[in-house]
Amino acid sequence: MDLDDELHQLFTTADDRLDVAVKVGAEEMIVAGARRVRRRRVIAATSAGAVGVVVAVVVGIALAGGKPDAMPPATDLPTTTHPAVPPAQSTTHVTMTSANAAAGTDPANTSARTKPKSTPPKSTDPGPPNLNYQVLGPNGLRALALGQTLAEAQATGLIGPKTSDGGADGCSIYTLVGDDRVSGQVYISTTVQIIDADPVQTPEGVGPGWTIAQVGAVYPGFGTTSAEDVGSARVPGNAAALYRFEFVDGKVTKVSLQLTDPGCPAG
Amino acid sequence: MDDFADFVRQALPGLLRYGHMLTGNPHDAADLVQTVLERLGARWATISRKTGDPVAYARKAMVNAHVSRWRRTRKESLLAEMPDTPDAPRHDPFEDEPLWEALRGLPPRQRAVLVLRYYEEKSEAEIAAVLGVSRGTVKSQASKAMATLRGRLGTSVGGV
Repeated sequence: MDLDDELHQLFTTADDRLDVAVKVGAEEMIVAGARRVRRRRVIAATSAGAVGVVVAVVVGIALAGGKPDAMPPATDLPTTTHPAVPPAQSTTHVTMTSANAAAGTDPANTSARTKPKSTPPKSTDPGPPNLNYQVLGPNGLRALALGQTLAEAQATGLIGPKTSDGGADGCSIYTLVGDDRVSGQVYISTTVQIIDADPVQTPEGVGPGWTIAQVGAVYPGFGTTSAEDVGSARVPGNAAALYRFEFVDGKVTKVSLQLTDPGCPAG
Repeated sequence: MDDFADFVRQALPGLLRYGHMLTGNPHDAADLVQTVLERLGARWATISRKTGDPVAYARKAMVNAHVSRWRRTRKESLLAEMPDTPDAPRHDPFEDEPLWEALRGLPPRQRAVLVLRYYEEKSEAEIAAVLGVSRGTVKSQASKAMATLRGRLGTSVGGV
């Protein structure tokens, strides 16, 4: 067989083998990422000089291919489907095929249970730093919670002046106030969508200084972008939320909490 | 944005397969698809209005993002020819496929030309339009790619 035919045959019969496993919630994370790209673009364009050059940050790693060594090994995953498991407790590798996409089945409904891994990855690892920051998550910061209305959020005393107006269907941005230990901003559409606060740690103790591997050991399904500058994880105990971690030189510099699919389409 | 969510749901598996074909491995495929879809989603209203076929638009964006990313990072990644780390064996559905292995060694633009030609069955003129190069370039890239593949397959064990 000549090369031309061989190539033709490989490329036309390879489809089954080309399937790429994606994590549960992949589509939602892409949609959320697109919103964040857009919001940053709008903020960059409207707040003259204040922001400077804002790089369109790729959010989240919905896709299983992001960072192989940050994922639990596939052998840890029992094959039993277990729809009743809350998403925050489960990591799933779903191989999506055109068949289930066409049938409109939601891959999020198929979940395989895995045990959260809490041991450090290496015995020589000195272990993650013990932090003593304010706790962000699983629902919010102190009385401020994702999903609260503006009035409810303001009643917590943690919402300061508005710094950016989101317009008709976007997120307005408010300064986080009322707690000297943290600074940050809160993104509110009709309800609270994203809480950026610094410095904070998650209820699991994860925060600044943690390595990518250490974060990955705590959150099943955690992954980063290939540039390893941003990573995200489902929030244990809050199926509607994600932690977003920023990394510099492989260590966490910032943690924020957001709805899985924040409703800020227009920034 | 709901519209975009629907698009992602429907197009994702196909785009991931396409990315796998373009990049040669599922990890780069996932990364490429995510990057391109997030950018596309940020401008969804405009793009869906202006293009009748967002899947084709996304594929084209993937080809160009992949080719240009490689161009930018070529110096740094010159030493790492194989995209997969050799000390972390994973199940690879193509591992017994000498042709797939040979394709891995091609520079992304040459590989893209072959994917567009054999997977998408595009004409030389169409390939030139997607990549933004002349037909002559498409022709020369394709023949370089074929020569490299022939060379590799000729020396590999079990190669045809």
